[in-house]
This record gives sequence, C-alpha cells and structure tokens, in this order.
Amino acid sequence: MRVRVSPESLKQTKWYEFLIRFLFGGLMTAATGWVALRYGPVIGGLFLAVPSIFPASITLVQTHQKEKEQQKGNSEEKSLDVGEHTAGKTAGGAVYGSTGLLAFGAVMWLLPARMAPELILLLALLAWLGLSILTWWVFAGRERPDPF
Amino acid sequence: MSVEYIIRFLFGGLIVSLFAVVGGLFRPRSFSGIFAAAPTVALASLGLAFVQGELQKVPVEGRSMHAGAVALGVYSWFTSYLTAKMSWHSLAATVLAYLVWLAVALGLWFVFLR
Repeated sequence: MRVRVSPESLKQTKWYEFLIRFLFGGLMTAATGWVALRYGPVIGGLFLAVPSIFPASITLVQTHQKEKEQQKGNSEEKSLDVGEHTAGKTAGGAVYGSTGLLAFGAVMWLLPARMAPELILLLALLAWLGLSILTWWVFAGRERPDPF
Repeated sequence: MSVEYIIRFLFGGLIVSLFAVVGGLFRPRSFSGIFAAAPTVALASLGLAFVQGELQKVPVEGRSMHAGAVALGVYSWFTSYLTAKMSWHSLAATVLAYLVWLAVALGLWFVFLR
C-alpha cells in the first residue's frame, strides 16, 4: 500500500475544528502537568502517553468522511457506515503510533540527561516516527488500500 | 504557577494542532492514524522540563511512559473495534475508551512501577 499526501483534508477542515484541537490539546497538556506536580514523575510519566489528539482527530475523520459520502449522493446509513469504518481504520493506525511511543520513552529513559535537550527531543521524535512507520509497514503496509 | 499552566496550555495546543494537520495530510487512513498517537503531550512537557532545568525527572517519566504507551495501544485497538466492528459513534467510543486507558496504565504502574 503506497503512502500519499492528500491536501484536500485541509480544505475540508473548518476553523472551529482547528480551535477544538488546540483547546483539547492545551487542556490535556496542562492537566498532565498538574498530575505530574501532584503525584510525582512516576505517575506523571504515564500521562505523557495519554490520548490527547485522539478523540478530536477520530471524530473529525468520521464527520468529514460521512459528509464526503453524502456529497457523493450516498444514503445517510451508507455514509454513516463508511464514516465509522474510516474512523476505525484511523484508530487502528494509532496502534502503530503507540509502539513508536515505546521508542520515544526509551530514548528519554536511557539517554544521559547531560546531552543537549534539543538533541534528546529530536532523537526521541525520530525514534517514535521510525518505529511507528516500521510497525505500520510490517503489519499494514501490504494490505489492500481503502476504496475511499 | 498559573503562568506555567498557561504556557503548558498554549505550547500543548500548538503541538497538538501541528500534528493533527500533518496527520490529516496522509493516506491511507491506517498510516495517518499513526499521528493520532503522536507524542504531543510528551514533547510539550519535556520541552518545558528542559527549559525549567528539571532534568532529573526526565528518565523517570520516560520509564513510566512505556506503561502509558501500552495503554494507548490498547485504547486505540479498543476504539477501532468499537467504531469499525460495533458501529459506535467515534466520540462515544473514544470517551469510553479513556476508562480502558486509565485501567491499563494504572494496572501496569501497580504491577511494574510502584
């Protein structure tokens, strides 16, 4: 299955949908800070992998896909089905992203803190992306592409 | 203290928005889904920890993050199951699945990290 860039999703996104993601992400990050302060870094570390972007993203994917199917002239029921299927596929993809978070955490855990912070963040981000793409390629890369 | 929370809010919101835009650009959906599990909160929190010089907590949080990551994997799979197989609305599925994330993360903390 070939990965491609599809800028049409940006045109489909409304201004308030960007705002929802910003508010939700900001609130989750602030709440995580509170948890770390209140309960210490061991509990706080758990919340570094809390689903922050997930609910807003998946819900918007479902809504956009449903609208797209309705514009094609499909029935309400069919559009809803395709929307749910698409949301499910996206959520399934997040499983691969979660494996990448293991690599992100390992970099934070094992690299010496005296290294340059920018370098640690960059290496952790690259480790997340690399392992996520690798697991996606191994488990989903050879599946048939979605028809929509 | 409240200034720190405002900075966290703005920084976190910005990073989450950025990853949402990047993730939305890719197809197939299973690939763009990778970005729904992007380390947004981790990047924001660690960035601030480095700025504030709180370096000693970074390895401790990194170790705990493994339990959170496993919980996020279970959360993602469960949400996928509820939406694709059980035809749940994604908002209801993602909100309910928070309980699953919490149970798995705290369960792993109790067994391995406490």
